[in-house]
Amino acid sequence: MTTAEAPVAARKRPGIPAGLLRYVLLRISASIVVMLVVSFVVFLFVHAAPGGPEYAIAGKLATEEQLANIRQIYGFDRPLLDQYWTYLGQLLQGELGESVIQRRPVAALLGEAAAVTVPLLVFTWVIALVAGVAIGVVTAHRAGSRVDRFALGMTTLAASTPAFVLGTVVAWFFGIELGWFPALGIGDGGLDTVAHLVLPATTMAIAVLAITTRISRVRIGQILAEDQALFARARGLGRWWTLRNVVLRNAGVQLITLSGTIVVSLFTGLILVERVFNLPGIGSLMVEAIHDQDMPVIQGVTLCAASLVVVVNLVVDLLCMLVDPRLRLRLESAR
Amino acid sequence: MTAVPHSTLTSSRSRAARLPVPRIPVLTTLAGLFLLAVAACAIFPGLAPVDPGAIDAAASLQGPSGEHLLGTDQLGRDMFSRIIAGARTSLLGPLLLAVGVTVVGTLLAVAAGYFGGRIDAVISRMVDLLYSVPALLVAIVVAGVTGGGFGITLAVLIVFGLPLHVRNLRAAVMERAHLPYMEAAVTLGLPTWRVVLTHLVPTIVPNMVATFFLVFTYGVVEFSSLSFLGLGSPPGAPDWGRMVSDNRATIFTNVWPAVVPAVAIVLLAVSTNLIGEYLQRKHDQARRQR
Amino acid sequence: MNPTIAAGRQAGLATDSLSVWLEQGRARRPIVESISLRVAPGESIAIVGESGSGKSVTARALLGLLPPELTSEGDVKVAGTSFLRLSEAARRRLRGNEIAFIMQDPFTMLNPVMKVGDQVTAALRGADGRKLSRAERRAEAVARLNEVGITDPAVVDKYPFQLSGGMRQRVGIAAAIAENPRVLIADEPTTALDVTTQQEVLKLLDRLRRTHELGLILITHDLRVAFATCDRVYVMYAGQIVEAGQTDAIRARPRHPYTAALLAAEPPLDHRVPRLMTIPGSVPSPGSRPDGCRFAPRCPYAVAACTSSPVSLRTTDESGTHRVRCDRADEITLVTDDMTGRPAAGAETVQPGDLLVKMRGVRKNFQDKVAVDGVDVDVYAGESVGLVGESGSGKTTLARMMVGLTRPSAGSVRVGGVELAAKRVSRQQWAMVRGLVQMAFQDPMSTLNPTRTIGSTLREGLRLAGADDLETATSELLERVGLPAGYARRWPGQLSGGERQRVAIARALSRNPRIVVCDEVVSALDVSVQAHILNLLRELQADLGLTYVFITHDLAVVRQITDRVYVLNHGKVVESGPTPDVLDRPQHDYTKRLIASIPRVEQ
Repeated sequence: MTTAEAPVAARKRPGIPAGLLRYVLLRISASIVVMLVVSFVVFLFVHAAPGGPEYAIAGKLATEEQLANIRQIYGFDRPLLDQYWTYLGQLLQGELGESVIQRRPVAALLGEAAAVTVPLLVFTWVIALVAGVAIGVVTAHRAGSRVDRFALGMTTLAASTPAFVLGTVVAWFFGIELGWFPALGIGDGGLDTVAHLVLPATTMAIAVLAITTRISRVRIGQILAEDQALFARARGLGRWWTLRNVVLRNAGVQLITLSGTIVVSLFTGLILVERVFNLPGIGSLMVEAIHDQDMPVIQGVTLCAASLVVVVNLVVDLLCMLVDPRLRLRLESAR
Repeated sequence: MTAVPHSTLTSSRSRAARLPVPRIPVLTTLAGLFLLAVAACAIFPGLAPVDPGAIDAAASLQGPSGEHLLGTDQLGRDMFSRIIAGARTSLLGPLLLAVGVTVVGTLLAVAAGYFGGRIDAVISRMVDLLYSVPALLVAIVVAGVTGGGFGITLAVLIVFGLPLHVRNLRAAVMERAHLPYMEAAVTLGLPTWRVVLTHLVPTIVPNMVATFFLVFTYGVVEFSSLSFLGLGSPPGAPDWGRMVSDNRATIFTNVWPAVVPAVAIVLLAVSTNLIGEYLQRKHDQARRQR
Repeated sequence: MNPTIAAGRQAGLATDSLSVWLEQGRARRPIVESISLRVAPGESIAIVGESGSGKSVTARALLGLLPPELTSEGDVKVAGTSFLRLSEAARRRLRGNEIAFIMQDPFTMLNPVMKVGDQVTAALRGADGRKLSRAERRAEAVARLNEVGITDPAVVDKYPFQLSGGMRQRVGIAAAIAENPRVLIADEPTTALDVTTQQEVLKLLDRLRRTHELGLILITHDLRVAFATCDRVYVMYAGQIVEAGQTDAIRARPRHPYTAALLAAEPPLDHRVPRLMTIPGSVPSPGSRPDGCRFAPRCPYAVAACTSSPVSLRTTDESGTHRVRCDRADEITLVTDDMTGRPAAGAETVQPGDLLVKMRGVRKNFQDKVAVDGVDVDVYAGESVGLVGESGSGKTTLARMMVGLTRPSAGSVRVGGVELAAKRVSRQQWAMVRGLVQMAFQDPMSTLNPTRTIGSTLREGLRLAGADDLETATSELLERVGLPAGYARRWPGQLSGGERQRVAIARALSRNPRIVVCDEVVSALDVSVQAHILNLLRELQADLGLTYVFITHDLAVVRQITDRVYVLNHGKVVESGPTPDVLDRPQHDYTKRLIASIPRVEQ
């Protein structure tokens, strides 16, 4: 236990150590495998749809003639794997199929919707993360104080409130009662659109703030209770130094993981919030597609969401490796 | 190696590490009463004063009054009765979800954390894989693809809700699996199932309770969100989430029909949360006194 | 700089009636009461006390770093200024600069994600107050680490988890004294370390005291460490200083019954005593301290007058340096070591009985680490065998293999004729082994299941042993280990550490075993409690004819409780033989080093 571990060979040559490189490559290929599995499952959607794949493509009102036609075009009589290879080939060329209802390419629909969703997502992500960590730092420093208890109570309340409830209340209060911001729709571009995005963004930020505040409060509280924090104070190191070098550095892995987690939960929350505020984003696209049984669109959005989850996880894992020397050096010393 | 305990310091050190407990017994009591009321409504839907489906066009969109305690919706249906009628669906989903996740989660956690080896490897890999997949999102997709249904939704929410709790419970199990009292039970000669059932499981009951209430709270949020999106109960059904969605169109004229079910959802989630915290606090106190 | 420091007269640290209170709502309980002590630069003092004495709280009060629910009163003078009256910002400037602090656990004290060099130089500024350049910081770090005996410059770029415990403690010390403070408060700096490392760190502190003109305040539970390292000693009991004076004076003639009892309870390394001196009862908690003399209820010399009114600290010699908080100090003659020179009768030679445990060529690997590397051990009926070694020696792994908690990677472990290394051990064979050998564990906090009463814990084993009347058998067991039968209804949390270890021993006895494997059963206990448990174990052996396998790092304990000993190092047995032979005439270098590292009371 107390014996020094074999010193890592002092490398003069710069570059990525073999163990680390192997991990990164392994991690990336694992992500690719996961995406392949997801694409297969998504491919199966059409077959799982009520009424069979033909209905899924043609819609509920298709005639027998149309159905036969579709069977032929799509080759539903061919072996399943064959069909999948074709599907995968199209995916790799960015070909996501065509919406049954709107008769437009799914990729184009996704692009338009993303123009609404992505700015909203990025904005609320930054706000929730920065504010959450800031509140976490303040409350952890005043553990047990009134501020701490109030913040905790608020996070409990916010975590118990579904995003659509919060959205409805925000829309009604700020949009209708106070009339500060428009409560519905996307506006007609420019500043008007920005004004229309204020309330949805606020809603999402509050909802996610509950998560970020609570998790950073817990982790920072732990670190402040550790010997290393007391030791830093006993050395006369200032509060800012401790915050930067002890608290934030040690919480690094958790905060990175947290920022990944909330990207994903933001995405889910946006589906609801877009409905509340009638925004034409990816969430609305999805919900409408579900109601219309517009299978290609469902497939497209699902792939989009899955890629988001997989990429976020990959980035989170690699960043954690970067900030935590314990994780990193274990790999570096591995041959 | 000697570890000299300095109790005064260690107990105080953990203060920053522990979350403060909101110490308002009034709130806890109210939360308990609310939960009891919802449970009563769920068991006896006949408590509703009026038929929750009765349409009365003349009484459309009324505010709260003696006749309609919580007002009426656009079709003139009594909101109070509809809330009572919706209690069962609103409670059932989260309840089954919480039971499912807690029971299955504990089984998997004990299997992985206590027996370790290959079982642990398989369970942990599965957990890692599913960990960051948002349950609600999957439930939405599955409902969209298969046309939904309570059973499928419940199964999806359980499976994708499990990873976090399996991970937490497994950590709790592993923390205890090799404590002296567990090993003493083994060396005494107790059969493994007795060691697990009488020594390991009782010590993680607090973790299981915490899991139960946490999952219940999220269950309320998740099920009502699905209903709101129209992926849960059928249109017109007295489901709280559905009611928010159905009555959203009228918030410009009368906010009550949308706000009342919304408040009911939040109250249900907050109440379970508060009761869960209360039980944990009581357990902490009891443990400190023992 | 501050002229008062330049004058040198007031440099160092002194407290005047420093008290610490625990604030619980409206209740206010004293934790530490009216501590007055001083240390000059270049001087070393020790604050000695068992757990519950308030010594660690005192350390944090000196630094003005009490947790929020504790408040202090009185004054601490640092470099001539009233430290506790200063603003937090002013205090922060003095911390690290005038007073420094190192903590018990080198594994948690350092920042795990920051390089060693950066941690050491974190507080350093250039002469003009500017930040140091990268190269300057590195050079400083190398120099500072050199001061604490780390000569390898590569350590600067390492992270703490890449270093051993002793190295980490050195890094901690280097970081603490980086700004050349005048006073260093060391809170149990060696408790978490092995004896050999412990001695190196103590030597280092002593050297720094001289080279850096450092006033050293050593907080420790170990009188041997205090006597071996410090010029003066303050003995604390239940929040008060009960005795203070020059080390030599206290060592030669302790004046407080508590100090004397502590010294006597310390098991001697060089001879075996028939019975260790003990202190009855336990340290009172802050809420239940008696009114008069705090120690009176446990004191063999106490008279009625002792309990009536508070006792003050008074001088007992002409020079005025030796002070004691005992009104009867002049009347009583204290016995510190009544057994000196009289070797215990009969205990040294044991007629060997049957061979109960036979281990041959035992190996155990954990992944790529070898914990036990080809060890042969025999245990005969009726004897007491010691397995001695530092952490990482493989002694605990070896013990666990004896009771079947760990499966050996290779070799043979035969317990009562059953081969535990076999691929398959039948149910009947396990039942036989479980009835033959039982184990008691180190940590009193986790040795008992918190969700069960003492009685239900004991009944479990009794039932397996086939006892008829469980109630009576439980009571008998409890009495056997010196606890009242009523304890059966208690919860583990209501018991002190020593009481829990008694219950743990009772649990092992509940199956009526022939062998009890004791894994560091006394090492987490205060010395007075440790003496109780050691006496109990010896009684049990005499009464029940038990066989012990005693795992410990403490050679003095080995001397008291074992007949034969195996010395382990890095998974190998380096030396074995009758305990007196091995301890008095060690053959292997490692054994010699181990024995030489132990701080001694006598000097």
